[in-house]
Amino acid sequence: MNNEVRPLTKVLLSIVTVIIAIWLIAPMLIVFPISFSGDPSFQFPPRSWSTRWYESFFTNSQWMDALGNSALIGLLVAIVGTALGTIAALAINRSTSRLAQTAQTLMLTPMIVPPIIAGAGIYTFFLKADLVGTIFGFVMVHVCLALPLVVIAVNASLSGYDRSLELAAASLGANRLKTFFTITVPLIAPGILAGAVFAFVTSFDEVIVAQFMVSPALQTLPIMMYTSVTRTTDPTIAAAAALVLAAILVAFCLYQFVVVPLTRRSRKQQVSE
Amino acid sequence: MRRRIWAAAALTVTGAIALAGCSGGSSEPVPTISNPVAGQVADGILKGHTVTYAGDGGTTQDAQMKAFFTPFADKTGVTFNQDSPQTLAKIKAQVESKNYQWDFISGVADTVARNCGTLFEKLDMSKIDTSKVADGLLGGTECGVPSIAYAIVQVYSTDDFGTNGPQSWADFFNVQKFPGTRAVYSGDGVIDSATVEAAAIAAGWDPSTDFTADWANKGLDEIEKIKNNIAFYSTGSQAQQMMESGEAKIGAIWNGRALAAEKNGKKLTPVWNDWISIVDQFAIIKGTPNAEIAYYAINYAMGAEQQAKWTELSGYSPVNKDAQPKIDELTQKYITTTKERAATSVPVALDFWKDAAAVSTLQDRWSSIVAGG
Amino acid sequence: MANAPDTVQFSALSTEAIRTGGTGRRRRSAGGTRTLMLVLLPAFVVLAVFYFYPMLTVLIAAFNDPQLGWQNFQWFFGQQVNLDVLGRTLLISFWVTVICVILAFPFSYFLTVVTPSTRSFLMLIVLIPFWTSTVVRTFAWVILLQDSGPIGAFMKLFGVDSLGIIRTPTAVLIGMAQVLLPFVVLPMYATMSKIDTRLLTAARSLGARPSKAFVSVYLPLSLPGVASGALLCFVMALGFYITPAMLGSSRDAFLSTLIQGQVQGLAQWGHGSVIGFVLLVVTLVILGVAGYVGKKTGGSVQDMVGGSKA
Repeated sequence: MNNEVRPLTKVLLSIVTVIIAIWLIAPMLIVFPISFSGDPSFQFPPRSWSTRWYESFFTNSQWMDALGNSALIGLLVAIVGTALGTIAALAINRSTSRLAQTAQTLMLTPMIVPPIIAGAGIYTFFLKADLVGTIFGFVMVHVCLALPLVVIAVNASLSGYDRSLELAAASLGANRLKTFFTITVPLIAPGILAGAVFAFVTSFDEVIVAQFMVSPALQTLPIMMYTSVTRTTDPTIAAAAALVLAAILVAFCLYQFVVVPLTRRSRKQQVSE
Repeated sequence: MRRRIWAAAALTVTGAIALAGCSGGSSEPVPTISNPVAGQVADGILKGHTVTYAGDGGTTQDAQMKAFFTPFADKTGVTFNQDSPQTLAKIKAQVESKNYQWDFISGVADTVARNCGTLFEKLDMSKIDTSKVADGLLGGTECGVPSIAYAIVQVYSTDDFGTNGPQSWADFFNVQKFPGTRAVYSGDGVIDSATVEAAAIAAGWDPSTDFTADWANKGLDEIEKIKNNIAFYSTGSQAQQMMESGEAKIGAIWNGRALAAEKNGKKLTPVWNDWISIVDQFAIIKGTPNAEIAYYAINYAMGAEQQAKWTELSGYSPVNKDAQPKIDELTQKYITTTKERAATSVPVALDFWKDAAAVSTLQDRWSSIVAGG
Repeated sequence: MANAPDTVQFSALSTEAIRTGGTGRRRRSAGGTRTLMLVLLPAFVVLAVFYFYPMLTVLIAAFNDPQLGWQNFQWFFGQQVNLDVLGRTLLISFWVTVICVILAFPFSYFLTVVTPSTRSFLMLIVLIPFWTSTVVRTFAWVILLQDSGPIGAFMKLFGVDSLGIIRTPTAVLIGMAQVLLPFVVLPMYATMSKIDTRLLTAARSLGARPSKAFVSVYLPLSLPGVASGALLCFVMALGFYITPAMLGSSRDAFLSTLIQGQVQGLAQWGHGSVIGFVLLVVTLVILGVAGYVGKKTGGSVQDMVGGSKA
């Protein structure tokens, strides 16, 4: 790794980086004070302070149901999407067929094509198939949107993957299935995991196509937030956003300051043994 | 890995079946309405049935639910579902596929009028009691009865203009005399009849004469002339935010939103000279099997007691002339159904606006002004 | 927790993800095409039914709603506003890409020169906005940029009367750049991390000044990563809807906004579909051109997303 940068350059670079990092994160922090505003207004600074929007969020069954739906759908999308995407990525990666390239491009289409185009058609399709407001339909469409990301993540893992390990296992007598589960899967597990996280996030945050799939009985959190911001002046969205953001930041801190040091310590222990 | 797929598939399929299975309703027919009285309905008469309403969403729909439909559901035993927004494309898709997600809506009168008979049922007026509806609100389209009576009214920031603010639509479109950004409705994609009529008045249209395509174009000219001073809003809450934040100093906004901004501390002065009177309509989706239930619901919403509560919650005027809402001075400031207000109102000329062919050329021009560079 | 993917691996993977592809050595697999198709079948059935079918019905509507014919295309190209919006979509997407590339380059370069732990920390910083929903991020910008918001209040101290950023193209640029920056940083970093810095040392030992070594050695080597990131950013920007709708005025509308208006408010599937069709064609043309240029310079569009090099 390169450490031959002049100190001055490094200082300048670090200043620029810090500014960019702040610009990436800081704006979102504004949702915290707004969530405590006393008025149904987005004016900043608020005229008065109150926790009523948090109460509103937790006592409103609509918001809670939406949160639950989004979490459930996200989870199902992560499971189904990761499964389908991983198999597909593996198959494409190993194939010598020219079809593989076409297959790959097709799988990546949902990421490149503006979602509104498919979304508009999904409502009519769902009406005909009686899938409006069903978890099944929702999950399937979101799986399509998540597949490109899963494929990309798994591909990345495969690129650093040394196939000779499989050869070694085979020469030791393991059959293909056993090789797959004991060698391949653990080694590309990080890629699969990354894909699953991307799939969950894609589904949890999706608005454009979701608006064609929701029904009075099935609302999702991002739809409620988008409606809340555009059609009402209801700071409950600030409370919801603050909670989601807080959860992400807590997870981040936990990972960075708890999991990583623990891993490093256990690795140090392993090395010293 | 394969095991996981099967598990997930089984999960989703079971879930789908379970959800699908829940959509069954009562097999008893809905009793036909006879001798409807606004605001009254028999107890438990709709038990076991379900009806779905789609409206504007947000605080307006919340008020409708609190004032009309939740009490309605409690009294009749019906399961009342709500959705928003009442997207026209969704209505069209539902009517075409005969898969009815919504049964009745509250929507803009021009849209209802333009699609009367194709997307909305021609109403059987013997099923609705309109005897107490305030003067001037009825009529216009066979497919609707009044749901929300409101206004596009000119308001300006009191702090910025004091007593020297604009006094007419001509002033609204005069940026030399009254500089500042104006908040104007973008129609959310659809041409806004009220705004065009207001602009036509500024161009010289006399509201006592017919509104024609010629005047519509003159109105569009006015809007285009000052378009660099216009900030278009696509929802009521955007209009409210614009006035509150000072981004717009003058606005052609809905009276309910002006009231909401004032409640949040912003001082505004309304100009009631030639305010445009708009009446949104309850309309029933064409072909829905729950039409009868919709009639019950609409009837109930038009009662005096319900309308009084509606006004208290939303700040919009009651459509029932017997309603006696208890409201404060600030809310009274924005009520539009008093005699004094009615005298200076200009209604939306539905006869003109329900002609889809005439409107479609104007629509393209509107889109170009709103979205154009 | 010996197998827990630590942050370095994690972030390295996600960067690799967008940049490189599976370049495992080609291996003779029994059955070739047939096995491939069989294994891909479930994924493709799902894609076909739930994505391609609805998408195609929309695109076909461009040709046959309300009647079969070219009238929707005539309408599209006949209305100046459509062409204006198309131009605006391309222009703003272009500027967002430029801003993102300019910001991402020093950021990515810095990532290559810091310690692994700082690197993974910064990488997660980049990913946090990715994990917060677009609505939340754009909402935050609306609050910040409104005239009475904190930035406006701050500028009042300097005598700036009204900030006037909200609902202008500037606000849209700021908002979109923040959303898209991670997508540019990741491919850029992935390429930069592979550059052998001994080349720089070699250049310097041959007498080149550090800045000249950088410009003539490092920059060209980092170009594929810059190109992938820029391409990805541009293509995604074209399809944006929420950020321009919330931060810009209706006169900053993107093509997606127009589609939304035609379809939702007016129920004019024909018009909405033809706009979608044009948007899709423009996107594909850009990808095609990039692929062609890439082939000429040795890269490949597939580099953008990785995968099979068959």
